[in-house]
Amino acid sequence: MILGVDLASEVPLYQQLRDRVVEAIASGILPAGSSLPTTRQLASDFGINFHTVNKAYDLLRQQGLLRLTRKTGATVLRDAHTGPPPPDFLSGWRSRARTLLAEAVAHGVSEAELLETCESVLATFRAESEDPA
Amino acid sequence: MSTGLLVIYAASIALIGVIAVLLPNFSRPTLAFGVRIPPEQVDSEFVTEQRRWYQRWVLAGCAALLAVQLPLALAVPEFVQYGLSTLPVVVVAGAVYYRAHSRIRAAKRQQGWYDSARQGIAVDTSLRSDPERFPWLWVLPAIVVLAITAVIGILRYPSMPDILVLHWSGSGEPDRTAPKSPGSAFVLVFVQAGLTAFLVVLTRLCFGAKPELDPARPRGSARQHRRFSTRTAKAMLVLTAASGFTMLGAALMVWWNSFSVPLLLLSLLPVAIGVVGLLVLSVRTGQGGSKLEQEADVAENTGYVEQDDDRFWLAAGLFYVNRDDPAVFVQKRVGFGWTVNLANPKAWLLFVGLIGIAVLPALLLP
Repeated sequence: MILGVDLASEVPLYQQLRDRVVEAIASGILPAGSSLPTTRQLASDFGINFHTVNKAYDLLRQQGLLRLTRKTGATVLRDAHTGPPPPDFLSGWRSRARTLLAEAVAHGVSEAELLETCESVLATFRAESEDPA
Repeated sequence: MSTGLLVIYAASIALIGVIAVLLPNFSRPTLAFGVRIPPEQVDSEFVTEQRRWYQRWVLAGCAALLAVQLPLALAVPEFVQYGLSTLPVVVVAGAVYYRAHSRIRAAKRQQGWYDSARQGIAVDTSLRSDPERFPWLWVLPAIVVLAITAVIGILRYPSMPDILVLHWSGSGEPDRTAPKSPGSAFVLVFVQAGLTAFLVVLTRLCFGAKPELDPARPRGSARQHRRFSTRTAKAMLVLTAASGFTMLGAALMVWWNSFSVPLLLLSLLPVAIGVVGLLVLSVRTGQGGSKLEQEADVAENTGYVEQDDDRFWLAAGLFYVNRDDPAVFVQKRVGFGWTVNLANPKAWLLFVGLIGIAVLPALLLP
């Protein structure tokens, strides 16, 4: 899996790393049970601070997506096929989705356009899971 | 001064000269004389002109030095210090290099080459989860050469002279001797064993060193990295065996108490061939595999460029100092191969190991 970060972005590096891993899980590139390098290894490959990677991995662990082990690094705990989300997940996610949708609406994005975006994003997840290159 | 020694003298100067002239050919295209440049500058008129200028002046300097140093060595053989013979050419090439480095750095700053660049870093986790296998089989030649040295030494030991000559001066006169004992007779075998072990460990560490991918085409450059790391590991292991062969030659001269220039040349031959082979390999492979052919089906461009990381490189790109980076080994900016992150204490441990091997003979001798 290719993990890329944008150094000019306003999004902090740890958040970018966390986001890329979540997207990779959603698209089936990282199915449940697959492993990620250790914190130190990934930090070294990026040439960034150990704590940055640690923070990203820790967020993913808190969200129930990763299990961290000292020796082998990190293992993906769940994916789309693992089953329904944990009970407390949806309420938090809905409120974040609400904010995200509000941003688009406030900027004048039409409802049709908004729904279309959702459709096409979901389609890219499906497409990549069918062809995990 | 014998012809054989003069050949070694001239060849070492010429070799350093050739390496210096080829230097711009094995670094990454986006590193010009230790300065990170964006892709659109790689073949720009200005950068190309700096490369041409550098190669012209290094070539001229090297030719001038040979023309001065060789007659001097013939006239005053006492002057010849092998360790210092290549120093002038290194100084000249370094000065020319620094001039090109400064010009490019100044242009980069004045013209704001990175003002509109989208800088990124890309990592391929499959290089870790599904890594290339280390070519352990290629360690075998070095072990065989070591075993041959040890066996010859053991067989020869009873008939070795009572006083062993351990070193000869440049003119072939013995200048260091020691009474025969297992310590003095086998010192070179121990050094060879230590050197072999050190080089194999070093090769293994460099083999696993961080891949530096081009964020514009992460997949293609990850493939290049795989071929680069395997190739260079094999080349380093071949050179390890070749250096063992040189040690074998030196041991034979001590054990038979006969300094022989042809034997010296013969024992240096594999290393010489190895070094020339490594030069060809580095020009054709390029640092990180950057010169390796891209597969035709890969047409990726993410729009990112490699980050401007000049701030982590000191002394015109010679030394890497990055406190944030946990890596010990990183690819060199100047030349082919690896260097260490001087901000990492583990890198300093490595120097201690190197010094250990250098002083090992002195400790072992009675």
